[in-house]
Amino acid sequence: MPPLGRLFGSVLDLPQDVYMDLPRVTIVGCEEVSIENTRGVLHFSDTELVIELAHRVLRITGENLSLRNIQSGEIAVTGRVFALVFESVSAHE
Amino acid sequence: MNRLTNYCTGFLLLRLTGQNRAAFLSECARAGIPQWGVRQQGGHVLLCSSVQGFLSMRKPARKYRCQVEVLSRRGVPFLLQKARRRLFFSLGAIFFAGLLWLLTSMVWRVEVEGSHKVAAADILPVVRAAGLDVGTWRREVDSERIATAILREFPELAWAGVRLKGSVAIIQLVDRAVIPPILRLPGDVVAARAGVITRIIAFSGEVRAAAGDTVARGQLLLSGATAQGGHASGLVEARVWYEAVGSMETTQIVGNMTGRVAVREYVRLGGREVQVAGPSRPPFALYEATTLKRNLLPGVEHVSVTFHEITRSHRSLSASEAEAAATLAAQEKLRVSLPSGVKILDNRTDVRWSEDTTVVYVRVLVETLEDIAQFVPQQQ
Repeated sequence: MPPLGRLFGSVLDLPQDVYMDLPRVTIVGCEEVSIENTRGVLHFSDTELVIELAHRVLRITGENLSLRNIQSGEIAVTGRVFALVFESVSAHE
Repeated sequence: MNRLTNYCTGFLLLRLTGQNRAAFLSECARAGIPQWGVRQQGGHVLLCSSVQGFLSMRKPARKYRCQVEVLSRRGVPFLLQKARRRLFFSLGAIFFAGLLWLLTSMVWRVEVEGSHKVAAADILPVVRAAGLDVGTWRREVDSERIATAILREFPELAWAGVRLKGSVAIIQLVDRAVIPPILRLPGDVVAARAGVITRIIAFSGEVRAAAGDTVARGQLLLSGATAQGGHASGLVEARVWYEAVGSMETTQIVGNMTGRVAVREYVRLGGREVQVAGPSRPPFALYEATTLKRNLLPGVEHVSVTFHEITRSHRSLSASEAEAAATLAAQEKLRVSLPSGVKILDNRTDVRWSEDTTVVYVRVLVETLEDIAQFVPQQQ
């Protein structure tokens, strides 16, 4: 991300996900996680879910996980969520 | 909301098998293929998608070597398709639902509650005539008309109402608190007491006396001869006098017991007395005797007489004491004859002494204002 963009964003007081291509993660209790600005699903099972973001991957662990909804750029996960871990792309590979 | 739309437009439950399932899902998402309810079950993944979505999945499936198969078809369009195949079953279901609706919109039972005076069996024909019977449509029940019909037919009811509770029509009744009709027998009003009339008002009948008249007891005051039904009634207020005399002697003889007692006991056999114990005659000049009798055998009686000796003494009362006692005695006599609830106008006492001043006479005179009207039914 060019420093100019960051400067521009901070001067105008814009939310970072708007100008920096960052994901927005919303957690409702421990039952639902919705992630916007995703690139795709890397791994899927009922206990673990790996979601590809712009510069990182998001690993969600839990029980009875299911994808309530998959649209381009948006994923909603339901089930019992234990942890959300942000990892670098290399760590996943 | 989303789920409802999906259900209305119809969707497919799909089973996804193969290696690159996550990549396949990402590819589908990128391609804008709708998918939801993605979950792992056993070795494969279940997901939902639209028919159009399923058809579009062919390309990514080939690319990532995945197999997608339809497990079931869900939603309204598929149900309709099914229904079209089973036409008579569907028609039967619709017919059944219609019949159910039809039957629940009818009155199946009419209940009557709340009245002790009118029997349900008497109410039901009236209600039937007013348009409420078993089999009547619920919406055709005109509660107001039925209630009016009931009240017109049964004047002993104060209120009637019809309430529908499911297929039961409940007729609620409230009895009128009936005041018993006043008997209006033919007859006249006469004076209950002698007095001087102060006011006479006839409610029905002809006035036969006037205010200021002195009337005797039993005198005709209001005649029912010309009245409706021959019944006379009215208010006759009159001044009535009551009189009573009490007397008291100034010298009173008082008996006092001395405490000496003798007991005579005897047995009575038929007409004969057999002395058993004690004196056979009273031993005192002045005495009071109390007798106790006991039946020993039939016809045999044991009698015990106790004699109490008494002495007499004279007690003199003062004039005022005697007067007070005499007044009290007179008032006591008056109290018995004076009716309750009358207005007392005057209360006079008249004291007279005997010539030798040993006896005082007190006359109490009470003047009252009261209704002396007394109804006398006509002799048949």
